[in-house]
Amino acid sequence: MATIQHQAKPAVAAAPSTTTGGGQRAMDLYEKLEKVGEGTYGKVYRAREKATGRIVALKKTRLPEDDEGVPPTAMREVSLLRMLSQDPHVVRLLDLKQGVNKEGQTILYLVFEYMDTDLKKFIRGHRSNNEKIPAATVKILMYQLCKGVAFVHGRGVLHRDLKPHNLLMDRKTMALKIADLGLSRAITVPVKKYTHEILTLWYRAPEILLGATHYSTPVDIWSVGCIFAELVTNQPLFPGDSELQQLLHIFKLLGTPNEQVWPGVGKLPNWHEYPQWKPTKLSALVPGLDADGYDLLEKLLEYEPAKRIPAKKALEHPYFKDVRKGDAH
Amino acid sequence: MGFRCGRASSSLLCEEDVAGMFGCNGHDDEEVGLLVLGMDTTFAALPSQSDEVVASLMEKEKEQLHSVATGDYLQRLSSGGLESSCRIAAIDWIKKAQAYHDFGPLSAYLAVNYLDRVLSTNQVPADADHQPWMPQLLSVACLTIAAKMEETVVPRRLDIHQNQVLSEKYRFDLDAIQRMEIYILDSLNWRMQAVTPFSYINYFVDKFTDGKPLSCGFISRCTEIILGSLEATKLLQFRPSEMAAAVVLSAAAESQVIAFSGALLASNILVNKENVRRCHEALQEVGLVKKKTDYSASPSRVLDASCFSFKTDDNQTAGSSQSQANNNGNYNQAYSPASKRTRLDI
Repeated sequence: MATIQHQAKPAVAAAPSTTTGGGQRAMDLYEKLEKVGEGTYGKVYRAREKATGRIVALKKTRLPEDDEGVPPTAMREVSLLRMLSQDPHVVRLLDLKQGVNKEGQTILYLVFEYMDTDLKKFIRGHRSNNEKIPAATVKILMYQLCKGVAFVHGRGVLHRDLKPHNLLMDRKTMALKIADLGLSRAITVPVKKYTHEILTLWYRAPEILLGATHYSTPVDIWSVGCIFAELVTNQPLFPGDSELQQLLHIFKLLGTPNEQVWPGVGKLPNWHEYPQWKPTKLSALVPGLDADGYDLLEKLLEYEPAKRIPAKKALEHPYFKDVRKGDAH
Repeated sequence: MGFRCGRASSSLLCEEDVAGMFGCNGHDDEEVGLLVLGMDTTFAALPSQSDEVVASLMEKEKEQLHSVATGDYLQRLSSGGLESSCRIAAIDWIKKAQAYHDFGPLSAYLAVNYLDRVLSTNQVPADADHQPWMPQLLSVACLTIAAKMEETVVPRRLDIHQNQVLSEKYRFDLDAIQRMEIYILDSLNWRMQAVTPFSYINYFVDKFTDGKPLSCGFISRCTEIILGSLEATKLLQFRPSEMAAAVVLSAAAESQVIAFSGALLASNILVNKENVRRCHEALQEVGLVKKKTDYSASPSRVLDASCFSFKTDDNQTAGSSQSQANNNGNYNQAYSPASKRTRLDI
């Protein structure tokens, strides 16, 4: 019961009952098989839908017993997936259930299609076996990633946390899907200041590291470039362990930016006089690509955000010409 | 400082400070200096929207406003009963709280969008004495959800409604707010990513102004009209896309960049032009737009910078068939009957 005080005179009101996604409890409908991961607000399980035998991923979200209520990340993720889930390169949200645990806490269960691995595990598997991911596979995965990002951006959404761990995969079909939209947000006019405390460091765009609070779709494109390089080498391209180290990593490899390369860079909040490094050739940093591959990588890792290639344009790049032929979507 | 506008890599870009986000801080257009900036500090960096993307947004708005635009919700509101007063009280509180917490305009718009979608599918209990706190709890929860969706920093839920400035009659505990929050999320089917007039502003500026420069206060003016429209029940009959088109045209005509009728006629848009005209007239009737907006364009009134829009070569605008644009029809033709309402017994 919710207590509502009116000028110090208490009144009692029954709060709304909730039946998210239908009346049945999640645990009556699904059988947990194993824990496959853990997020900020709860665990992720592989589960079986009892009625159909279908294997699903069950993301359990606790509603914190504090002032926050339903976490903003959960709200954004669910509402964005409601909008984006129809795309073959975005993970499908199948259902949403709500229950109460033994302690009386409200629990949300997000039911997703099950994917048997993610890109982080896929890369790690190849690295531990000391083998490169075949060039054709890299190309197929990159094409799907660019398609997914183009779709998300085309719907006016920034992902803001693209990294191998958030790209789910099916080992058999090599299908790749964008997941974990908890940090995503819609971009619209009037534009507001965004937080720069987003995105895993290694995949974070330089404009965010330099303190920009107005950023847009190019931040995701930078992440795509970092992922591309990692697919080719099995190693993260810029593995920094602090914001400063991350910037220095980027500058050492791509050269320290200046007003010629990136107009306005000196006016960004975190800009200082950094050591002056000359750019290293991409072929030395990321051995194993052809000329088209290097050209695309260069366009994805362009310093000036306005010049960074949009995902839709990337799909038309010569690097993908042989994949485009067989593309049904 | 206000806006500082300039050209960088063949795009007009704009930087703003916090105070100048929605206007020019009292500077005359002539006083605003030009400055070359990178995109990272721009006021907006939105790709141009293609007709294909806008068509998909319009599909979404159709689904989302199904219950608001059909059925008897508009009738119930215009009859001026309990529901109408509940809505007015809730919107009044939302706007005050938005200003107090310095939330962006989209948060206020979304909160009212959620409110209308909940009220349209749920009946407010007729016994007003029994639950007089209902409008306030509804508005607290709607604004909390909107802020979580849109704001970078969200105050604690209790802080959203417990402060001296807003001096509410009621104090709700966390459990009450959380339950109402989840109730609303359920009612919305967790579709909080609403299509709003703000979703289309970029598109219509591209379509109507034909690259003509806009004054720094342009977005500020559009925002003002859109937020002003929230209370006016008669404006609920228009789709967000129709509202956006009417607002952009009205604001551009007011600042003498274009002539309203000419620009509407000449444009190639996916929205029903007759509805845009009707929406413009409704905006005039409720006093949000000046009666005479067909001014002739005067170059002295505009600034050579598009102060909010960054155009990339992504999603280039494609031509659209005019017949399709004019055959969209009204809401009532576009929807099947409203879904059954349930009582909002809280």
